Amino acid sequence: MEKNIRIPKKLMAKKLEGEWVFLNLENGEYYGLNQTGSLIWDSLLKNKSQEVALEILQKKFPVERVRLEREFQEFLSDLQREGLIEIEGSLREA
Amino acid sequence: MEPADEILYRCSFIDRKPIDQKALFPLLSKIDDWGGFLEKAFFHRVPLRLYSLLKRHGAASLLDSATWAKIESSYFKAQAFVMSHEAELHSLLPEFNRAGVDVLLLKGAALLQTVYRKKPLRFLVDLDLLVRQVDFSHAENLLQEEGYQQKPIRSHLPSAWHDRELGSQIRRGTSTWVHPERNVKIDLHEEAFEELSFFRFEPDWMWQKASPILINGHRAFLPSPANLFIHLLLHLVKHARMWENSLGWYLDLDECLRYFKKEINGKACLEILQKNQGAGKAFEILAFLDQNLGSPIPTELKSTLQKNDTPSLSRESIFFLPSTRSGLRSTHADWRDPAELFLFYWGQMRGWGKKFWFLWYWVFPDPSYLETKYPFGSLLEKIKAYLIHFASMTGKGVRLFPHLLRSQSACPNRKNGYTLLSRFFRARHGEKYPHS
Repeated sequence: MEKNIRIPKKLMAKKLEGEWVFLNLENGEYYGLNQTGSLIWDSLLKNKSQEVALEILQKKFPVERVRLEREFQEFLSDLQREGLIEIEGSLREA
Repeated sequence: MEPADEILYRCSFIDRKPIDQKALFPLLSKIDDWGGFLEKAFFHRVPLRLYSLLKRHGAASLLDSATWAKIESSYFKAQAFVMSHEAELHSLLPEFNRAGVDVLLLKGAALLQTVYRKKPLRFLVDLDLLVRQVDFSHAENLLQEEGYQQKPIRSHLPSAWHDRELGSQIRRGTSTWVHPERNVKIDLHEEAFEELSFFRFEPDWMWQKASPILINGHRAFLPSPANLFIHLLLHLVKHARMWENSLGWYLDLDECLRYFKKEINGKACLEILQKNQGAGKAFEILAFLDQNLGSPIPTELKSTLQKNDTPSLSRESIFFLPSTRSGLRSTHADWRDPAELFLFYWGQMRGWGKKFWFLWYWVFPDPSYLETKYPFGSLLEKIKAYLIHFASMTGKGVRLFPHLLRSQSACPNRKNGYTLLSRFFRARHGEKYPHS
């Protein structure tokens, strides 16, 4: 199984009503994920693999695979840019 | 009860008597000032519970998007604030451990490790840490080395009443520290209660029954369930007679009773309550928990309530005193009320000294606030109300106003000045006074 996503140590997270809140301990910035974002986060947290996360999402959201992958990669890029995840190697191409 | 208070009250008790969607939305539509409402939720320490309930009832799709965005952002802010305090505890404990300073978590900090560990609904505004008296200065130095600055004691007080000596006397046993960059506040205690509160709770009682806990691999201590509970209860009694009376504190007591169940030793709690003058209100709070939340009150405490037919606080009483400091005096210049001036000179003649005035200033609501709720019939009535309130602060109610207690047998601790005050108001304003 592909294991390429890491959660940085500087991050503290809490979940309430199915939604995650993150606090960046280095700069004090905080972020909230909505339920869809939290679902992706949960699948990443559990599997640490983009492939498995995508499979879970595909079952949950019956949309075109291409669109799903594109939006998924955009979300991962956002998380990476904000320092909420670290990805080993490069992101998959959509 | 105002719509904002009604919503906070009903939304907060989410696990016991959940409000249904049909009842919630007519109430929400009465809120004009959402900013003020959310601020009030912070004050009552319930922003996380409020969000949880609104979310569960699908408020996101029923409120307009701007309002929901405001609610969401307020929730994220609150949750992040709690997390930043938890993170701070994680980073401070290794320092305390290295220095050999034992740290016992009090109130919210202890509740987060126990009652709310799997249920992130507890909002907190500071960390309360108890250290042994011999370690107190050492602990203060450690905080200073970590970049904390000691918070001065109410610097807007008139200088004549606020010299260093008086300040340290009033706040003896506690020092407050803030980190200017990390937005974190720590109350460092060597005593469970500062001198101002008049409650006796020996720190040794806490330490003797404390149990060690590992947090992120670092050692801290937790009070015994009974000590945690009774400390929270006395803390609420102290504040419920002053200005703050947060809904969240009632919920903490209920959650604590449900989480620890039979681990809370009712006999030990009763002994501590009986040792404290002015703790009679604690029984009224317990009766409130029993009647409104169905909290599992320990047998010894419950039988005391039944034996004495203790009256419960009414839900309105939670919202009786000002919910923000704006209901209190902000400067000495506000002292223009004739009743206060009379008492000022009377107090001077009796030689009650600075301490009396410090207390008076600090804990009594602005007369104009009180008067809008309960108009006084005459100046004499107002002076009497003020004096009774002072008696309630100091637990000297029985000595000063014995006639008001002559016929009552409700309260196990007859020295409760708050009962005197409520009786005084009730005699004049009947059921309007929120204490039945």
